[in-house]
Amino acid sequence: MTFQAFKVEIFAQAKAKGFTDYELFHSGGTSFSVRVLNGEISEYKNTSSEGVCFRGTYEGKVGYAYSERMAPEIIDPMLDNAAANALIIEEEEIEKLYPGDENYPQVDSFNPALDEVDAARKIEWALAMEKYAKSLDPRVKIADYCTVITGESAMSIANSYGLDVSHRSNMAGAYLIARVEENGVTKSGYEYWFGRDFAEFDYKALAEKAVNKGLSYLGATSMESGDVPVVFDRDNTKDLFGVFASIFMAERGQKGFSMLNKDKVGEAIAAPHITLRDDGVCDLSLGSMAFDAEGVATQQKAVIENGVLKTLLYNLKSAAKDGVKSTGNASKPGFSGLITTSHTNFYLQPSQTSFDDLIKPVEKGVLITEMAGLHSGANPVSGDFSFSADGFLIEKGSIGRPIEQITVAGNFYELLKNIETVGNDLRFHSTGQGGMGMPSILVNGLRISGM
Amino acid sequence: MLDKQLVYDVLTAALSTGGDLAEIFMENTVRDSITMTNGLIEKANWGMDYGLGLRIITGTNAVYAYTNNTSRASLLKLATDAAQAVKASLRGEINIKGVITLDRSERLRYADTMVIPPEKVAKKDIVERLRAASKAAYAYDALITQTSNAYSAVVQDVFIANSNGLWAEDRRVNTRVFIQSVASQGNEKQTGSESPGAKCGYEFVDSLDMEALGKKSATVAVTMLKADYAPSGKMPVIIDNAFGGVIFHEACAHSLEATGVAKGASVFCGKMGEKIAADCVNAVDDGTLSGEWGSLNIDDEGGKPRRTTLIENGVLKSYLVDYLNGLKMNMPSTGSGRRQNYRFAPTSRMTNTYILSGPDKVEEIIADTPDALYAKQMGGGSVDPASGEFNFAVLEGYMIRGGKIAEPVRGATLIGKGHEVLMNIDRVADNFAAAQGMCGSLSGAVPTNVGQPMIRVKEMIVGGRN
Repeated sequence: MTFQAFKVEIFAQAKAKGFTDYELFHSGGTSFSVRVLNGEISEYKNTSSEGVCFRGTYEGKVGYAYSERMAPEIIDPMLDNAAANALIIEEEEIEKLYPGDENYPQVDSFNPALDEVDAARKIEWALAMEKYAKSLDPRVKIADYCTVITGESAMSIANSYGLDVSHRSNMAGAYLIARVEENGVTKSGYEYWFGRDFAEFDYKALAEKAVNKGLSYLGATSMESGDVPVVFDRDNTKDLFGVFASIFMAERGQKGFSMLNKDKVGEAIAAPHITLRDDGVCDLSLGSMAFDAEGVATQQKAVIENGVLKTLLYNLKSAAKDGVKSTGNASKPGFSGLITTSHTNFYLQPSQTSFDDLIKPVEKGVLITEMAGLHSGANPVSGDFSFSADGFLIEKGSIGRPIEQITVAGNFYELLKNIETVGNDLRFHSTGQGGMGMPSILVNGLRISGM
Repeated sequence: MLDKQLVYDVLTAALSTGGDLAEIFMENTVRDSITMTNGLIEKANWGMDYGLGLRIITGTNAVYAYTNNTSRASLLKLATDAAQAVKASLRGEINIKGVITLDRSERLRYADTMVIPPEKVAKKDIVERLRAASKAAYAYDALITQTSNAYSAVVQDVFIANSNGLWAEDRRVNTRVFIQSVASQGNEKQTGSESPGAKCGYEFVDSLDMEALGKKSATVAVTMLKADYAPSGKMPVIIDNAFGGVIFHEACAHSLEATGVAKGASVFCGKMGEKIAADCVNAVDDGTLSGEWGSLNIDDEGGKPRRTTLIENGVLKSYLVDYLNGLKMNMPSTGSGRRQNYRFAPTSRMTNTYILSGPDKVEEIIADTPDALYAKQMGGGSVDPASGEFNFAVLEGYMIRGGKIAEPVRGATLIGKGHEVLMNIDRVADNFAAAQGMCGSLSGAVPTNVGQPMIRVKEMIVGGRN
């Protein structure tokens, strides 16, 4: 059954069953990936999938049901479960469907030239990247997860108020983990590239970065515990903000799961030089979108400007609760998820300070280039975190010996105020809806634990 | 789920250009979830996951393709395209074709014993149970300001067939509740949570004391609100039973998965029969336990689960092996081939993975320890199997001073290297218990149990702030 036919059928039956309004969200895509190991293709993957999510108002409340199977016999159980789900909702603020906006921003998220690169070419790149990585140094034992990937996705939302919006995007990527070994100790260096144009892909540069990163960690040891200045490189700053991005979602604060709420807007919550932006459309990111998961047009906005909280991120329901307009931040984790809130392209405004100048004033400190345990070592409610980390000593303004087996601990709310310097090396890491990119930062007030 | 002729035709098309084995994994999964926030139902979802994954193995390499259009035309195209990929990946070499032997296949049917199927449960009943937990948490202490409680039931019907004649069907039912409380004072917030689950129907929820779970999560939140930060640096650590088993899951068992071992990316490569842990350590992976969260009737490539002794008196006895990596390692599968769903090719994963009880008594271990961190409740963690570096979170901690449990301390991450920390386990108690988690890896998130009795580790790095 095609999506269009399914939509007509489920809308007709929804009306007949007593839903007063209704909506169908559809998303789907195809992907290709090739992974090589020891000169052979160890995994070749070709995928296609799609799914639909129905939501509609029943007895005054919104209920949901989703399916990866679009067949006539699935419509009944979907609608019955959506109605049953609506009946148990007790929250006072009611979710509402949206008729759409007059204007939406322009988004350029599809490059037809990507389709012209055939599988054989991608296989060649993956094989060449592995071979090159292993040729760079005898200590490279495995070029692990050496992968080239492409993907295409589409999503659309249509409802009984006439909303009918759609989005299409494609992407390409490559990555590699160089496993290097010396004196029986293995260290790993990960590097990636994501883009929309293979002309920007340089497999040699990628392999060199991964190998050099791995080699630079050889000989790492732990260090003594202490309170020292910490530099997070751009990818780790991105990871740190990724863990705590939920504190900026209005619905979290409204329910008491974030310290930030509408009363904090206008207050200084970060160092005075900090500007944190959330731009629905951003040229540096692959995750730009014209509309959010409720069909509301996305916006360009500062969340923190010069240290002051300017706005929280809203979907329609949380905005109604605070008496403001949606900021176009409704989010839906695919067709199987429910409407929630998320950032769009979320980034710290970069400064003019180069990475070298960022670390120059540090007499004795730590540069963090790897973190682990992000999902378990953070409490987004309290802001407390304690992560396993690797990196380098910073001594007299330059990078010293590699460090392993340390943790970095602190509190994210305090960290926002303790960012000493923001770098100029912003890079986005994004493959889907809503990207995140950060420059490197220098922070005080964190605890390093080691031997 | 599919008729025999179509299965035969798809497998035949898959092997039309070469390849040794073709395998179909098809699923139809129904998910139900309800979330209550601060005592009111906020979200409810119902949905169906549906699709088919096709794998073609050639030598020790694999082509994988999936779709959720299971019409005859779509599946034959999927198989033909995959066969072209096999041809491309062979790059001119000629390979022996797999033999399709469905005519001899024995049809195997499994299903979880399920007293109350989730679809027969009134949503109101679930709501009232979640409410009971929330009310008990609020009633425990005025410092409890938020609660977040949820219910999840998953019924996964799978069909697995391969060109060697396997034809198996299975129904897996997993039910779980999540109970979280937040305690607040001034600018401070702390949380406590409980999340029991089982591989059976709604009777599991029936068996739970929801008020006790609410109260327990509230107790931890309030205790941690009043606690200071954990210490920082190297020190002895006593790790409690149940979810404490996350230390073995991260520090050792992930690195025993053939996924890393087969390509030489594990610290335990080539260590079979060697001592990798202290004498007091005995560990198993057991997928056969009835009704346990991580148990299996069959794994996701049709293999029989088993009880695998991983470590006996400190000596490495077995890896966790799936079919494909087994070919690379010249070892039979240990029934460990698992995947989140049809979108993932299977690889070696854990089921219920435990350190077994030892001779010591809990009171004696504590009394014999002058100074240490006592990690009472744990969160998740992760590991890099290539280096053995692991981490896991402590959610509820106490200091041990002079052989007695002293003041509470807040959460911190503990880190170490698996091959070092296993040697440093010096006491193992007799109070084994298991706990439930979702384990994420190459083939997605799968339900696994961790478990152990109380153990003591001579020293670990504690990532606190004091």
